Amino acid sequence: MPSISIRELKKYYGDIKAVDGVSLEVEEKEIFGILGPNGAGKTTTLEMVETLREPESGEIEVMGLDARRNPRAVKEIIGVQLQTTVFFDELTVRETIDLFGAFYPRTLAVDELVALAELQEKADARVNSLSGGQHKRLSIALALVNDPSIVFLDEPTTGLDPQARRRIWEMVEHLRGQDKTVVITTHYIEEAEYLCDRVAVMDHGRIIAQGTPDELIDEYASESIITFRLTPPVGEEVVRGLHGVVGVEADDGQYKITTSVPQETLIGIVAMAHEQGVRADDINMKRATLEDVFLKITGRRIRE
Amino acid sequence: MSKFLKIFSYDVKMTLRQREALFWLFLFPVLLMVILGFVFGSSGNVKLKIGMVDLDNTPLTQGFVNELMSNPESKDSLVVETGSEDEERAALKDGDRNAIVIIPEGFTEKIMAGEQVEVTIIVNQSEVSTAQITSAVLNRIMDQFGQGMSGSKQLITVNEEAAQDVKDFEYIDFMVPGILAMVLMFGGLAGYSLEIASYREKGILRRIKVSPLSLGVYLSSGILSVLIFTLLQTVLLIAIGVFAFNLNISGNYFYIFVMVVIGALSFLALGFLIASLTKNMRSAATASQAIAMPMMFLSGIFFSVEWVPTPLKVIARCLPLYYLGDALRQVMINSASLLDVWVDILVLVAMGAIAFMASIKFFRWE
Repeated sequence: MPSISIRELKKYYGDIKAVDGVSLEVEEKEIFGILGPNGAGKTTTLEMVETLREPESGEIEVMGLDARRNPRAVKEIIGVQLQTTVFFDELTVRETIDLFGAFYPRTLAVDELVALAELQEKADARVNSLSGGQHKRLSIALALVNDPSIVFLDEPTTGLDPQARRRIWEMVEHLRGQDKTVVITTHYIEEAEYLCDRVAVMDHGRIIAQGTPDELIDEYASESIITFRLTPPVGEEVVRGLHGVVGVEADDGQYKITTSVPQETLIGIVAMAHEQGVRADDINMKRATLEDVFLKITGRRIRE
Repeated sequence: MSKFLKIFSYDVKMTLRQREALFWLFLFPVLLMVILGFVFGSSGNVKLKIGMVDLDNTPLTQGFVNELMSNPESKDSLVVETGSEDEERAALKDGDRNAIVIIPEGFTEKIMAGEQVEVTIIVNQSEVSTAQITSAVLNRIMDQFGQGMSGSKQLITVNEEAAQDVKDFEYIDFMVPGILAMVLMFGGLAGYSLEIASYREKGILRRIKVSPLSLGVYLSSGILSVLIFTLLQTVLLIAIGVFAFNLNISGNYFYIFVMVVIGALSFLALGFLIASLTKNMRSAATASQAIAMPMMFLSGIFFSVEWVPTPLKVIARCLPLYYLGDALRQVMINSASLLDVWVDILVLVAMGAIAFMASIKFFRWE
């Protein structure tokens, strides 16, 4: 049984189709990413599943429960980190976790959550003294306060520096180890590729592609780019003759080739250099990313 | 239940940690009371309040009373009320009159016949500072009246009695219930309801909405905490009034408690309505101030509206704070029962209920 199953979900704001017929399934214990630019409808989709918003139409099942009919039962088994929440300035980290625990019938120990968020040193500090990264970690800890089966993280690393982002990723990885299902929205390519088992790519309220990052790249942007230098240069037609090469740009010994079978082409380059008696160096291989997938489907970049 | 208590205890904790809130809750009302108490505490230049009892009730005596009420000379220094003898004697006892004047039956007949007639004046001696003036003023008025009648001043004699068993009514007795009413109003309009508006702005309400906790439980724990602080304010104000300013509380403490709770809840509901109707915390705060400030000055909580021009009186009676101030004053100082102030209670409960229902209708999570 999938953890979450959404069928034909729609949400309109006047003429704006914020979510326009989204269907997807999230399997148990996977980290599922919804990737897309700002305004794609990621948060609105998430908030309908979280029972925060009432959809126009469509079905939402969470752990077999009809979320539209039985929101309260759903609320007990999900944990939610909202995109922007500021907490009570007058409370400490420990007190905030304790207070939010009182909202649920079942709760984890405060110390456990403090440790999970690596906030031991800040446990007795006021919430308003936390850094951006610490604040996000606290809000993820609060999403876990009821030991939920499914955790929703809405852009958990937006606005954080790379180091703080890493720590959030570690926290999310830790959830994988705890057998939780995680649904995460993001507009960071690396985040989706690094964390997610499967990704739904969203644009203009619709899901335009869905699958594991590898599947998506294979399907939509299977070509890799290899750049290298040859001294002395060889003729462009020699390079074009290598196995798997689709396109070549040559400029005074600098080559940039596109290939559908990068590994074989790489071996071909080395062998050819050996045969021709030229030196090959500065070899770089860049695999396609989800950004290329998005570019391929929409003709735009995810981050404007 | 333990969840409720936990949320409640955090509400209390958060209030105690807000220094600004504590200032407005406790220091500000006390300072205001002390300042007003010192500035206006000694009765100074207050109008004399005279109760006229006209037992004769002829055109002549009516004319005299009307003359007294409208004469520009006496209007500046006198406030004249009329009523039956029992009513006026009771008002005198409650400290609401500086003196009452009783015109006996047969007064007109005797004057017309040129006979001696005796008018009784009962002066509130407890107001030491005004008793002598009151007596002098009334004697002079009676003399003038007698002269006007017959050209001879001997016709009217004044029988002056000292009122027995009069309550020592002073400005502080008037002011403390007024300050309490003001505190309850600000607590409702500018305290917890603004906090809820800020929770909405910060996304805390949405975070509560995604949890199984009902907002009703969350809010009632907050409201309970507000009531606890309100009662602490009440105790503090009354204690300072009694010990520092000789406040006379003759009312029933349970009735006072009931009126405080009704007033607090009623204005809290109004505050919630404002918070529901406004866009954000800033506009909610502005709207609260815009409502609270005029109400504070026009509702007669610091100074009686009985002495102001009629249009202002009408305005005062349209403001809910007037009714809270009146009810608290009646219950605290005049030993009124809850039944005696049923009109006030009705107005406050009705306003609270309407505001509460409207705030539910217009409530927004974000």
